[in-house]
Amino acid sequence: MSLFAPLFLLGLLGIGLPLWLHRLQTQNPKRMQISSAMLLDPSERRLHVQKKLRFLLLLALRIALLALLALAFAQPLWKLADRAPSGVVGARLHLIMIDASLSMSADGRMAAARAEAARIVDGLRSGDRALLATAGSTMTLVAADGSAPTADKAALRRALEKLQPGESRFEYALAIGSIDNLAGAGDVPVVAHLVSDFQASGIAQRFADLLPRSERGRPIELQLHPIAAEAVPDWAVVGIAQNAENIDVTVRGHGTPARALTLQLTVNETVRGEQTQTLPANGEAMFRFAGVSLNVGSNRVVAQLKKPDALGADDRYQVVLQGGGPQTVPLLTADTRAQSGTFASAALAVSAARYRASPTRMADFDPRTFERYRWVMVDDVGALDAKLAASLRSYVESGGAALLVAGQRASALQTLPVSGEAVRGATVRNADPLSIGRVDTAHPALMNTRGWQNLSIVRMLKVTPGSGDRVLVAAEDGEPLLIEQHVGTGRLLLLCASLDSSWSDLPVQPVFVSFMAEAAAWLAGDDAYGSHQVAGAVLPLAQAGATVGQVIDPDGHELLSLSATHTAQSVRLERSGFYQVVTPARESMLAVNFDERESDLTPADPALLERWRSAAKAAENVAPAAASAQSSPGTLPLARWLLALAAVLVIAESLAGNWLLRRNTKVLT
Amino acid sequence: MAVGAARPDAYGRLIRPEVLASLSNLELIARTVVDGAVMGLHRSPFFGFSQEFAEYRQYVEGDDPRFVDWNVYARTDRTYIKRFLGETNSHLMLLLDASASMGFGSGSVTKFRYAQMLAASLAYLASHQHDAVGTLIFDEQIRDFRAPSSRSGQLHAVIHGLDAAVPARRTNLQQPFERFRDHVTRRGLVAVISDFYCDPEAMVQAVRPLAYQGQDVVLMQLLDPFELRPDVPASTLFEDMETGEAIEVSPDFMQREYRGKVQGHIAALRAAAVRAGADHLVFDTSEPLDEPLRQYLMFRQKRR
Repeated sequence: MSLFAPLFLLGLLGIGLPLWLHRLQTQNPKRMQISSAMLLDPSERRLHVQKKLRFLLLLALRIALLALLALAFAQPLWKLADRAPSGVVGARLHLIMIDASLSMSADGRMAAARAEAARIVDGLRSGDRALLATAGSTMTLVAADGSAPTADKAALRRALEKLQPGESRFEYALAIGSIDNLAGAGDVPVVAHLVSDFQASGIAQRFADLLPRSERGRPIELQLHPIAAEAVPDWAVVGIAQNAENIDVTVRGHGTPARALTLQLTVNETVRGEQTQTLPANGEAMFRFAGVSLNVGSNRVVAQLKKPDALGADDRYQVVLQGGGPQTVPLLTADTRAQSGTFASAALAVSAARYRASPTRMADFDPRTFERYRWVMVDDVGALDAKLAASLRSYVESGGAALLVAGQRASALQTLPVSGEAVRGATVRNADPLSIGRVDTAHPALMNTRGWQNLSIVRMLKVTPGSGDRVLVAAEDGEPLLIEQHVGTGRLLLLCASLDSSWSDLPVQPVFVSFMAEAAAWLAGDDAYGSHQVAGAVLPLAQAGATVGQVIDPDGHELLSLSATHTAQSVRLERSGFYQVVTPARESMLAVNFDERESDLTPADPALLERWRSAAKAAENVAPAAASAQSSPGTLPLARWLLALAAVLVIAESLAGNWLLRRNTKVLT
Repeated sequence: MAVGAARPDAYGRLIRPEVLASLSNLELIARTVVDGAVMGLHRSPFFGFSQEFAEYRQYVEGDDPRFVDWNVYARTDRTYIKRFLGETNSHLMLLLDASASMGFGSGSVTKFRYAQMLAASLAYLASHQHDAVGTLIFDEQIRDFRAPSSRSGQLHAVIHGLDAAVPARRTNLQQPFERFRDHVTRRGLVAVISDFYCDPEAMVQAVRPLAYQGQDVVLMQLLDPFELRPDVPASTLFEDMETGEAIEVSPDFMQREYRGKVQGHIAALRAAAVRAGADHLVFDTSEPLDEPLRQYLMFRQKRR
């Protein structure tokens, strides 16, 4: 739209021309006095009226034509009417987002937030509608009538009364970024109210991510409603670490004076110790509990401050600690005295992996015991008999994992057992060993491995990867050395070289140790979610290879419905405490704690909030201009419609004028 | 009469209305018209007195005292007027419409001027017949009233009254005619000169009581030639001279339908006049005045 386009409105002055011509024309008819009009035909009266109407119609058409042309060249934009159900132009949609994070449970902050939200609801104008949402790690609509905006103030107040703080962290950027989606379709102006304690620890110094934007081009006004003016001292247990036979617990104070605190340690719901220490002002201290023995497997360890403070939820911290040393992983082999067992055991022992290789003769292994192990290793997969191979396949399909290693006997097969790849013989390069051509370092099992380029391979099984296989490491001639395969819900790694040094120098290279550690973690599924999460985090069941499973919350309630146990891809962990993850492959425990940043109850500097408001205001002013420049859905360019209408009027004017002229001519003749 | 029928043979000796209208003296006009018209009559069966006794009647104010029968007065001490046959219907009352519509004229002579000349001529003619002449000039009200009288000077008074009238305002027959019935109870001739742009039924309602009263009523309808034969080249905005209402009409309508409507209105008036016991005469104001006079004399003869 040109800056001078509005000057075309001066063309409206042209309306005077048809007015003048019409006046001349209507004055033209000869006037004559007559004794009486009583004998003039009434139809002639109607005719006269009709003629006058026709003239007026013609005049109106001409004026409209000129007006439309002037308006069309002025390129007006039509601001689309408010689509609010009330039909009130100028109505707004109020999105009231209430911070429901952990910090809001301190010092009556939630009550203050409800009161502030109620004040906003009371201030709604006629035609305004409102949406109520709680903001934590996710945005949750809280409305009396589904998720639709409502103008029912009483319903909104009732919904407000039910609001309770959660245990997750308030993600400001998430809340701001959700405004446009929460407001739904349409281009009704949105007023986003953010009712929060505005912790200083949560607000970024850069406001770029905290400014509302609308993909629809509608204006979004951001209003901040801080409900906490002063800092509140708070102590929080922020970590538990296992250090040999000791368990160290860290307690930190935020805005706190120096004070003696008593901490209690509980292992598997048994009190294992209690300590009192004096924490410095606004400082931290470590409580060490020595000689705490743990049971074999997962142990629920909880540290709890004895005297609750302003924010009681962060006085408790829990972790899952493993007791009983490394877990055993069977290494199925034809010969337990072979080098492969030695190399694998040594690599796992020196790595940080919590697994220990246990070489076992294939003939002595009971296939029914596969389910006891997180994962297994097979040295020379070609040595597996059919029964053991079928059991191993079944184990993997049901969620287990295995590292299959090629060997002398595998090279004689056409198809590998368990994995099913076609074997095309073996590559032998005694004189000119092969090096590694490509490594997929994006894979979790190889992400932290270094030194593959130093490998020398003199013999390698030639296999053809299946359609679903992923080649993780390939030799310089392109032949795959390490292949990942998903079998059912389980995982397989196929190494096309042996675990002894006769085929390659891999077992004696440093990369072997890191590879074994990473592969063990990946095969065991330790990378899926670990044993510790933050409240509000999402537990990716699919990534854990547990698309079929159940999650039990700290209260013992199942989080997934029966149907969801087959379809759920993830579960959000809203509360702190111990969660139990049950899958067909295994059962594990997960500790969920609050986000440490929620413990700092210091509100943001008012000047910082003021800068945020200013930035939001500036963005709000810029957005409509940009939207209109791009002809956003909120405005409709009228020029082409006006021109189309003008074209119709030209035709109508021609017809009307011709009709009138024809009638006049007929009368004169 | 065939309205608008031209008689070129008579025009040579008759004075056209526009020529008469150029004369400023209405009495002169009347004299000219009457004398010219009478000279054209070889033997007038309608002129002069009839001395045959007809009746006695009570003397009323305004009667000529010369006709009081003094012998009867001597015997009875009452004043009676001796009436002869020739003066049984010797009162002529001229009712002249002076409404605004009478001011219309497509030529130099308006209908009202024609009516003035006609009324003056009738008064002059009646006066020379020794008939009592009176006038009532009206529009929607009575503007001037002169009771019928045959006294000397009455003619001057009548002509002066006619001359002084100007057309204005609307036409309303009802009220003037009611007042006329109140003032004139004696039987006589009543000539109503108007364009009669009114509802024929309303005219009947106004005239019928006069007929019941014994008056011999003749309705002289004056129409301008334009009204009889309108001719407009293009659509024209006609403005009613009485109401001010303006109507634009097509020439097609004026040339065809309007003429039929005028003739229909004349026919309706004539039928209404018959129902009211009156005669109806239509005169074209472009024609010489001898025709109305001749019609009048025939009407006078007929009512004998």
